[in-house]
Amino acid sequence: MKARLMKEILIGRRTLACRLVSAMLALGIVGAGGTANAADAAAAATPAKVTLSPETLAKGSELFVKNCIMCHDRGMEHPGTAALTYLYGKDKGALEDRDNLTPDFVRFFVRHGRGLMPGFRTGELNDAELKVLAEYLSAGPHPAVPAK
Amino acid sequence: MEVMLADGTLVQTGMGAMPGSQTNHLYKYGFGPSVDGLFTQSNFGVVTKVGMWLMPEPPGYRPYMITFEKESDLHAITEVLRPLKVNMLIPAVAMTVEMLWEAAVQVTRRDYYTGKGPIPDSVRKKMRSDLKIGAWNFYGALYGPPPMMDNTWEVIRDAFASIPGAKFYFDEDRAKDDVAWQYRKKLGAGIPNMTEYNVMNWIPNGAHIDFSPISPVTGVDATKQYELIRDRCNKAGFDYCGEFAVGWRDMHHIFCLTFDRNDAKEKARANKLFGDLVDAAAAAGYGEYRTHLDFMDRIAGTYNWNDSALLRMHEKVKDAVDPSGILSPGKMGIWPKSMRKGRA
Repeated sequence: MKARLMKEILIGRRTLACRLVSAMLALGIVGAGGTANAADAAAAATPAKVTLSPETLAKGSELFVKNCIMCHDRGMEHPGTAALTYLYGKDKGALEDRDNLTPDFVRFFVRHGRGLMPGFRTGELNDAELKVLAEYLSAGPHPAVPAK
Repeated sequence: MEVMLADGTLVQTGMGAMPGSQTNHLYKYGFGPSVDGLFTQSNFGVVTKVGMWLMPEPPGYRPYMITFEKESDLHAITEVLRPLKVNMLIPAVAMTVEMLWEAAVQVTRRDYYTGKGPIPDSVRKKMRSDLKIGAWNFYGALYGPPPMMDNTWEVIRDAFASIPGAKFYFDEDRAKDDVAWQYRKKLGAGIPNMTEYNVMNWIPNGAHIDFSPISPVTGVDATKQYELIRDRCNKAGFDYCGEFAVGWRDMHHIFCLTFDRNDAKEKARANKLFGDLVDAAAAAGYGEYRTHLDFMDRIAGTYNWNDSALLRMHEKVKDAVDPSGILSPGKMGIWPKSMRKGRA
């Protein structure tokens, strides 16, 4: 699983791979001998905005609420949001506010975890669900739903 | 409780074993041996149903926080607490929390200190004053009709006021953006949340293993455990970050050992420290109630009275209910026969 995912990530679409590697460099995941150079990293472009079907949007949101929101909801009281805020800054802390996530990036971190986040196994979140979740987060930002 | 055994048999325990039972989950012990405990932290079956006793929302809820000035106050806090807890003036799980735990859920280490090793006392002092927290912080809550809460509070306040420097806070005294207070307030009302995991954001890419020995509710034991952990932890270059979750007759002492997940050397140091803590605590008569997978054998090995009679009994049960060892082999140090090392 791990090898397959890494392979997909590294030989995937060029801009995507560049973005990912540069992100991983920033996170310290890839060592100094990584495959990206500064020019590649600079050339990384924001992926084209994808429009999701209402079904995928609803399912993705449901999966996010079930699996992620307890740590990644908006607000520094949520440890995932706090961790990402410390890393990237205030407007990049909450995953649903992000406009620069890609499906491969989401899948990598969900399966492998980081810091206090555990990797999610297929028994907890299967590949089909992860695909929808990744599409949902990549189609962000998603507006906050006003509290009832 | 409903549990599936390794051979596929579905078992209803306690009163639920009677077809058409009208009292399932109401009286826990049932008829004959009470087996529910066998499926707590074990690998004897897969629990498929449990009964939970829900409480109606109380007519009033008033969470409070008491801060204490000195590190050595842990002794007095625990002594004051015991009779209040035993007499049920402090219901639910109360917490005695060391300052760093309160700080780590809302600030990071690099906000205050960029040197190596444990943060110095001067820095701790600055954090205490910035965040309006004590060296130790006690959290509890009043529940019930307002006149009962008023009366109970007088007793609790007077008892803790005997400790010089104690300061008392209610919800209106803490800031709305006080992350530590806000999540404790939710927990006391039974609203689950993950804010406490912010303690691992204390360092970048922080992950943790919790060292969790049980302590008696006495000042001597609490202090002894605290010092036992603090000294070894500081020597190994880590910050002590811990709390005591106060039950009725015991406290769960939780030391959150946070390390950088990407730093192999730091991980090895954390691993070594954890093992040393298990041994030092056991030598002093303190055992843990849970642990990380990597330490299950080691901790199970500390419960070795009478030639490990308890572990051997667990193994007999394992062999009887799961002879092929298909369910979580090694969980809590209980291995199936085919995988047992050095013991028949």
